[in-house]
Amino acid sequence: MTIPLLICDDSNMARKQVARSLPDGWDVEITYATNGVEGIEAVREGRGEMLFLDLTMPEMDGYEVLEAIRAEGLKSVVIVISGDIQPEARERVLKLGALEFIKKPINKEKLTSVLEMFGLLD
Amino acid sequence: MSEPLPISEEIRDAMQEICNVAMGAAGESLALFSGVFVELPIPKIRFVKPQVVTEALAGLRGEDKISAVMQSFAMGETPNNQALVAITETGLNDLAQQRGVALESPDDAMALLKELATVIVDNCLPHIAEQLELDNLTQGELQTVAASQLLENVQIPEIVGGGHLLTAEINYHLEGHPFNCDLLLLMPEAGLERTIERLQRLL
Repeated sequence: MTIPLLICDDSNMARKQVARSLPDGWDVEITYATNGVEGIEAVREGRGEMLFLDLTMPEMDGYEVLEAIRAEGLKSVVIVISGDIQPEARERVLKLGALEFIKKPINKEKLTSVLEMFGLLD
Repeated sequence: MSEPLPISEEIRDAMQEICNVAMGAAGESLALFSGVFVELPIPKIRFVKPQVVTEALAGLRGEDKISAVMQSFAMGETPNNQALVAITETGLNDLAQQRGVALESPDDAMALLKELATVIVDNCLPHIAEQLELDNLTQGELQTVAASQLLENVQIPEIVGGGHLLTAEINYHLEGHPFNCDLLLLMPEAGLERTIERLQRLL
């Protein structure tokens, strides 16, 4: 079944890097969001059952998106993809319900490895 | 006053994202150095005349005095770049407290600032070079630019090459603290074309 995948990052280059890193043949329907406000709206509309989420964004950052997903009980499996690599950043996003944290820059190897680890490519 | 950028939105976005990743690496080191969670900004790209470079230190505007140090760096075929680290007096005092250091003289303050600058710059620049696929990064010595002065009175030494400067401002804060510090990367107009070529390869 096609998975609605949301890529949420304020950088166009970063969004493209994530899109290029998706495993070949993965059955997804991709939506892009340029900030957390657009992102949470897309999740509410069911377009972000799988969400690749940046942290540092204008309007609403990644932490706030995670809090909103949790507060509203929205259905979304979140993997944070960010340059914020302080150990505490990873701890915080996991506590807020993210599945995993991947350090930027993203590549196909890193992303596939995480998706396989959580059985998300089955 | 920041002028219109001489680069496309695509290139500006790529520069911002390169800085985003590099500032995150420096942010990790700053978190270790200060013992506090670092609040990362969105890097701000501007184009300014050398006479008004301090206008690119927008995050530090206010009444507080600032201190600043600067270091030249070269990567790839662009030799005359500068990395400036500027901090408010309140911020430096806050950092001293976090580090358990007594600032008993202006020399003590400058020594702490230089330590901070080393932590930030040494962990930021290599990540910029790496993303641009450049392996010949070299850095100069840290030089004092300002010691406890109002921002409007700070003079940035004449940048080699003249002309306008493309600047990237990364304004660091520590969560729950008055710490306020800018990393400002300065790239002379003359070297822009080569930087743009490098960025094009990533798009």
